[in-house]
Amino acid sequence: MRRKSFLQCSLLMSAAAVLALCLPARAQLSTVQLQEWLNSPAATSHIGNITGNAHAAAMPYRRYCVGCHGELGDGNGENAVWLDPKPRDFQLAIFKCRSTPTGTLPTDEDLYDTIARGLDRSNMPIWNTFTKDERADLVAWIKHFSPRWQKEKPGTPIEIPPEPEVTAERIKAGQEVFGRVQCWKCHGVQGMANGPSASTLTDDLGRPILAYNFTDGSRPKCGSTDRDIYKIFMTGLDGTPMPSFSDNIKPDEAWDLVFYLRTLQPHNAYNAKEKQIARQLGLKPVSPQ
Amino acid sequence: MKELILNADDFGLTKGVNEGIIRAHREGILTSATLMATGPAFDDAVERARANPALGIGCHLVLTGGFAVAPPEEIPSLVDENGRLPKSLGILVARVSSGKIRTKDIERELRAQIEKIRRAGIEPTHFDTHKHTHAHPRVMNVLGRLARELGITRIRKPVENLRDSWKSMRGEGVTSPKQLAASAAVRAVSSRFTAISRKYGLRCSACHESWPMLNYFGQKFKDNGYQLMNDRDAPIWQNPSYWPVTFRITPIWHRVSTGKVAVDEGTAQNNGVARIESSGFDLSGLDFHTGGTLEKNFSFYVLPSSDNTASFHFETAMARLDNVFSSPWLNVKLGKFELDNLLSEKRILTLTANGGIYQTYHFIPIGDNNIFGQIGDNQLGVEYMGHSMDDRTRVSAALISSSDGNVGLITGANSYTGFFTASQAFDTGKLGVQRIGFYEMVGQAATMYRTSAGVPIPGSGIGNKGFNRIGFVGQFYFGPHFDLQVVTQHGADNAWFGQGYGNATDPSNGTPANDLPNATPGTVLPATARAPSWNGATFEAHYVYSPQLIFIGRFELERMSQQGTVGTPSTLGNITTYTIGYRYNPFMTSRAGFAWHNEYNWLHQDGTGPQPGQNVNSSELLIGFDFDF
Repeated sequence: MRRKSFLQCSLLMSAAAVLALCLPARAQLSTVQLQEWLNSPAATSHIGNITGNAHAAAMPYRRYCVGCHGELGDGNGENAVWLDPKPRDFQLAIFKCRSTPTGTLPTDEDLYDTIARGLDRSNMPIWNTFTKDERADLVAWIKHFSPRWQKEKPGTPIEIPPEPEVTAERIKAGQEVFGRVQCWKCHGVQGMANGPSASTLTDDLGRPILAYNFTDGSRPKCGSTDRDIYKIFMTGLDGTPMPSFSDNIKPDEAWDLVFYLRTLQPHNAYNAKEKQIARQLGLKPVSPQ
Repeated sequence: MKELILNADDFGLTKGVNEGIIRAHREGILTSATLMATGPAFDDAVERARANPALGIGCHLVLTGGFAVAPPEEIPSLVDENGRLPKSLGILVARVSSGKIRTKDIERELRAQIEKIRRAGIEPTHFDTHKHTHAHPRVMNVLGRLARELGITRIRKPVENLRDSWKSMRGEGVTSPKQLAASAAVRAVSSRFTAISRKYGLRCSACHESWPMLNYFGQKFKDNGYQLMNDRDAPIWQNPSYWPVTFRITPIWHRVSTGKVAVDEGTAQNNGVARIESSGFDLSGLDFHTGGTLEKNFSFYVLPSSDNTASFHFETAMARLDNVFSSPWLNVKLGKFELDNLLSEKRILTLTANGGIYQTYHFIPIGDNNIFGQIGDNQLGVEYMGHSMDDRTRVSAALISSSDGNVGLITGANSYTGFFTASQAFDTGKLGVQRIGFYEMVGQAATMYRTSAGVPIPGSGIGNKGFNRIGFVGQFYFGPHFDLQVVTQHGADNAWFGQGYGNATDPSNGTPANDLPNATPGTVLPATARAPSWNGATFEAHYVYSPQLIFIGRFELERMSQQGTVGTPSTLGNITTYTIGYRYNPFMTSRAGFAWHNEYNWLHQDGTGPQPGQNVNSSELLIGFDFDF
């Protein structure tokens, strides 16, 4: 009996030793490359009159970001396994929230705004506690992870015509666009993210992804203003099934669509007039054809 | 509800195995099998699976023995030049643990195996692995990721009873200690798997300058009612096994040196006064922190806390409502909570008896008995709090019982205290976000208790007299590495408190303390009595070398400005103290915290020795492990 428990003990100890060996051994392959990019001109940012410097962000990145985005910026921090949606992989440099055409790199301002806005319905917090300089430094830091920033320039921000007056005609025209370009296929005829394709959506890496539900009161991922919503469907959310409709929707029609989308949302700080007109019109959902 | 699923693995290993599985399914109770993409009899198994659609097919993922499915050049660290997987479990575990096998290659191979099964027209319903290789956390990480991608919710949990395994092995003459070791490893890993993630998966450094002290982001998170405000705060978004509990305890060695202690063995040299020095291993109390959201904008915090003999009390117990009417300016909490001190004593970075509290938060003049003005103690009451979206502007107002947080209406019945704060933060570019603010505590507490047989009756306090504490708070940052926290205080008590009235019932156990004065009707203050007042200041500097290493230096002074009795030496009770230390966190994850803690405190108090005019110097050196999980 004594001998048995001694054996069990020593086996448990060796099991513990096996576990102790399971410490993460991180890949070192690209650290040399990253060091080079860190010292390149791409690892700076310019937001208004603020210049961000990547070197200054090394410690804040380690303090705030690395647990999810990872030391190599590949979105593979120790918590990434547990998160859904997954953290952004900065090595790919594919970003959802841009003012630039689909397929292009975002501007520094786009990244700067995303940090302070956070990404609703994800684990990316609202980092509005940083100073402007700290945020600019972090933008510069993000840019040192991908070869794309070495080779490509950010896209030119799309032109957004001035916002017209909301009218009943425009809302009806917006609804026509909603039906024509088949927003409802994913977002549903009432904007409830329950269209026929909604359950099949995956991102570019094949991971399941949800369409935006206009009706549950959550914030759009890339900002809540009319201009932000305009940008979403005219630039697309790169990396997701949400394409850019800039070839299918004319700028003026795009405003109509913004106004119609506002009617799908519950009452918020932006849609009082749209909701009122929709009620007067007795607007019915589009028919799925 | 299904309570038992029998699953056969190694489907596809040989035709004989396949035959056996199909028979067990058709003639027995087997409903599930896991298919080996690397098995020599794979095609046969697929054919048989198609012919038996009721048999649920999962993936039996193989990382040991046989040939890999992915081309060898794509998974060079996993296979030899012929594409052979590691021969045995032991070799695999050693190579994965030492980092020789790259996680990326494991992932590629497992993907290839799953893909092969799917290409054969079989959609896998569950996973397990040959030889339970997913007991290894790095394999499990990959498997978890693949399972999520494929929407697979079932993975075999390989728990085996060690004792039974051992018995059966002896009985069957099997001698495989490696298998046994792996089985033990599996137990540890599986139980960690159920714990899944701490709620947000943020590292502790995101919210804490150094745990437990909050940084600005952590303060904002707290002010939002423990919410990130990303519509994922409600517990419904968490894994059901998530349970918001952290415990904290600190095993230590310390050396305490107290000056000017009256001793019996008086000599010509020491005059009956001596320094007492004691050292040894010791323990802190134990805290169980449990807090978080009950639902979006409904949160709670309960902290049963013990002393180092495991005698418990509720340090904190409160519920709060946040963002009422969707406004960050309207948040309410009710219960026992820490007052809205920006420099939080409950999140102090030091641990010694005198250095583990802020003297400024607890100062009481000698002879004064007003314990109710201690802003460092958690208090019972209700608090309104409001802040801007980015928390740059903060205001709060609390109404509390004048009980110093003691329960049971022993003291504090019928007397209330208000506590008010406001602060504003400023963006100063490269330096960081600076914050300045103020606080004020204005209160009343009873000085008179009704008596029964001459003994004060707890809870019968009347004869309220006033007191107040007011001060400035500043948080100054000089870049990412250095900061200075400042709190000042001007305190004043009514003359009755200065004479020792106000606490005639001992709040610690509810029994009347007869030796404490009670202002029974007819009591008159002596002509020499007057309202005591004082000024104090705390300066605490931090040098943050990295999120894992912080150096702490603190200097505090408390100076009497008017003693409660005319003729008392003007410096009696003055305190000067400093504390220095550092905390080093050898690792940094979102799951647990561990700090190697080293600290020294020195405290000087004027005139409190056994003989008149004797000043007392005390010190403490502390070394310990401060950890939480």
